[in-house]
Amino acid sequence: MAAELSTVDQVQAVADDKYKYGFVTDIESDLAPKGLNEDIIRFISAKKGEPEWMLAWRLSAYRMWLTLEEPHHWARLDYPPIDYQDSHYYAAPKRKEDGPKSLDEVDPQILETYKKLGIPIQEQAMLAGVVAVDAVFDSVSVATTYKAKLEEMGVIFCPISEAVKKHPDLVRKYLGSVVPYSDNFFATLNSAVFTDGSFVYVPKGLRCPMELSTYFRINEKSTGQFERTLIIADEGSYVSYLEGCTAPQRDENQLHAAVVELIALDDAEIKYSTVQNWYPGDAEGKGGIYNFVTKRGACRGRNSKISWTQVETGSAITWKYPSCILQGDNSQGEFYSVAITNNRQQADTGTKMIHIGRNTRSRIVSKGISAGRANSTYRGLVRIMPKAEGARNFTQCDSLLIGDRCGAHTVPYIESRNPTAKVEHEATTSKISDEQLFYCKQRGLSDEEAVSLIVNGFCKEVLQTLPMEFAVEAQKLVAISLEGSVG
Amino acid sequence: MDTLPFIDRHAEALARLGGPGWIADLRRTGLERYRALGLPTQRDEAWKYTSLSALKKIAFAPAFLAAAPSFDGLPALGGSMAGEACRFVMVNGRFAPALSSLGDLPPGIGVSSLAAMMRDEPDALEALVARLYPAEGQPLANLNAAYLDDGVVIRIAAGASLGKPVHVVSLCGAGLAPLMCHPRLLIVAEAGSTAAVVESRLGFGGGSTLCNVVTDVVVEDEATLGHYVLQKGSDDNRLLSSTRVDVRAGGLYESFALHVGGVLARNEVQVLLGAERAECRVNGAYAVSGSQHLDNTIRIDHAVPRTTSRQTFKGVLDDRGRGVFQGGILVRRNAQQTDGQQMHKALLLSRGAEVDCKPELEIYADDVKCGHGATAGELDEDAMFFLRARGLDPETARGLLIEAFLDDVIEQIGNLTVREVFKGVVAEWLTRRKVAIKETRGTP
Repeated sequence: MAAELSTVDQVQAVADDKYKYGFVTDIESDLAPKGLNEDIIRFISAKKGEPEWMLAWRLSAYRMWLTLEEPHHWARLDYPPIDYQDSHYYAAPKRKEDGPKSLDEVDPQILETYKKLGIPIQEQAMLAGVVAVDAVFDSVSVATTYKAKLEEMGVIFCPISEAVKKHPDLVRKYLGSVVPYSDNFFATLNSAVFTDGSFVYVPKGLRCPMELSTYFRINEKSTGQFERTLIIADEGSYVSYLEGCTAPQRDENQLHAAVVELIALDDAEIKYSTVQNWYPGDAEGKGGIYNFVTKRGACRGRNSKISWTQVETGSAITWKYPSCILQGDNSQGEFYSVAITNNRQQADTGTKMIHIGRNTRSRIVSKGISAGRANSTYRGLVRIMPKAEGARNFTQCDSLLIGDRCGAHTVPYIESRNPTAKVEHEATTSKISDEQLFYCKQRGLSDEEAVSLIVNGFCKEVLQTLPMEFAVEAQKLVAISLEGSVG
Repeated sequence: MDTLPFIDRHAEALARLGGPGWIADLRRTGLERYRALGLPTQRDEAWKYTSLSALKKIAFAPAFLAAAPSFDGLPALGGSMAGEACRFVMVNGRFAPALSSLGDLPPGIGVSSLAAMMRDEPDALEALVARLYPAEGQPLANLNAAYLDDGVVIRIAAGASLGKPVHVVSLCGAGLAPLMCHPRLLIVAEAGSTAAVVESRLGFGGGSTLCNVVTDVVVEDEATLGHYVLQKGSDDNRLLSSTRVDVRAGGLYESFALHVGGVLARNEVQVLLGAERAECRVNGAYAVSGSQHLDNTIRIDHAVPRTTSRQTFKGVLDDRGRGVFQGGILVRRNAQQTDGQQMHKALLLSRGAEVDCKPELEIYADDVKCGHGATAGELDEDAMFFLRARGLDPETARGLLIEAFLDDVIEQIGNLTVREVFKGVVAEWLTRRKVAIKETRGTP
């Protein structure tokens, strides 16, 4: 009896311990009226001062989107229908004149928000070139650090809205070349209404000396967030890109439909790491972000490589399949994922590896952790096309269940059309054993410390692939996300 | 003017079908549900890799409305299974007494035709059907119900033990026009019984056929049932098979499906492990060539604590053959201490071949042991080198390795008689392959 009571107390204590990053910054927002129609798209395009071709592209996407049906039949997700007309499609923090010229000009309130989130943006400029942050606040990039330094080396790292104006040739050539606007319901919506995001171009033969990083968060009430990221690694270059997310607490469900496109040319390598920690909703599943993201990389060149690493701890619903199209001969794709769901969170996530070129290789390591009443699904596709001679894939997905009210599911799709290809898949499901917990507790650890230790061990293989600064944050997140899951 | 295929002559067929009133109700409900559900398409997740659209273009007539088939070209049935307890033969879905030999069955074993039971023992049949679990969501099982006519009912009484297997032969073919049939098999293994049933699904005499068979199996407390299926259709035989199995406390259902022929086949097996200690082993092997398409779709429902399941499938794909494996394990909430394992291995022998595999684990309980594995690839180069170094020609070496690859799963068949017969079928397939290769090489 006593034990049960203490469990209830503990869970309550955690529930009361409000979402650590749940606060709202009060800044005047430049809002588009609610709803979605061609006028809104023209409004967004005009606000951004876009060229005609960009508007035409958006409108084609919008017209396409009207003919598409929202996918509901295959993902193991359950959510009420979204009213796409009940959302603002543009929210920009009000600017003084033409926007800040330097960090000093950035709205101090925004800087305060970042401080709470633990991004020492003020310090960044002073720190010796470790990380350059293209900070995205709601939909508009407000500050870009280290831009000048990167520019010297020929790296273009800027908001995509700026790239549309300054580097139209690159944007026109590559935008939509990996995720066409007709790709899927959410990507098409994004193509029509995307407001901002990052653009990266790394020139031939350059190894980008610093990790590029961007922090997304959703701030304005009932605004959808439609980021668009485009990264191009030219021949023989290397770039590591970090994306991290936290969002203020909201009662209303918010939609996030981002698109990320990566292009690696001959001998180029892109490493893309994500830590996603948006508001997951409360213990009863009220509120939280809907994260419907299309991420795809194309290994266009010979010997190119794209590596995705993700740590997904937030969002009420995650629908996300970072993929690699392995076109170039000898190209490589990697996917490392940790997905943690607690309370009533739902995640349907995984990857797609499309082997087209000869001797292409892919490796998938996925760790899913479910606690509370959450459901987590790994859904991945490995497709070997007939010309992919000697292609090789290895997939491992492990699930860990904490408690008997959650669910962990695994749905790998394997399609092979070349006899010389080798595809291997392994999956296991297990729980944290009482022996493990007992062992840790006997040595003086609390329940939560013990769970954190065990789960971090379970995820180690994936967390190790993260860049240093993220690895530390991710380990903390793993622990925070599972608070209250055992008692 | 039905846009749905397969039911344009349903009214005409119904007029020719007899049986008690409750059977007529079953047919009507089946038709209504089939109409409501429609034919599955590749948009349905469960049918992602198998398309039935080619079937819609063929006007299949219910077999019993067509002229009686001639038995020319009938395969020699005596050789198909030595050591059988009895042989029950169906031709295009109907019992063929002249070809069958039901002989002297040991006490407690009943093998009778479904049509005969409808006529002679409707009450006993109704009691059996009441024990089955319904198939609301399955369009093909409902289509089968709409044409419910004949089939076989196998009853194994409580405590009975049958050493030799019951052999059911289902022959399809010999039609001038395209034919379809919808036989129904009903197997009830009562408490504590032990038995084995072999189903041979064969083609004969050419002619386009569609066989949409439904098999209902009940394995009661502590009973053991072996259910072995051999599919050796012709290149004009299409087979859609839905098997639903209900395993009770301590029961064991062991099945094995060996597929070596038929242009299109889908084997759907659903097993409900609805009582503690219920266990199933759903295994299979296949060898597809030409432009054959085989789909094995398995779904195991672990509904209560302490149940066990095993799925092992191995396939060889030659020419433009295509193999599909969709294996599902569902562990329901509270079904603690479930042990579910699954494995699919495919061997691709040719450039045009394709294998699509979708294992699915759906788990809602935490104290479980579940795992699955899948591989696809070609023959091991080292093994080939080893055999070649010992003087074997490439085709012999390859044949040996393919045989070993499939043997590994065939060895798991519990019934020794069946195991030997199935090994023979694989060897025969390999010989045919070797001859075909020699012929192509022989003509310069």
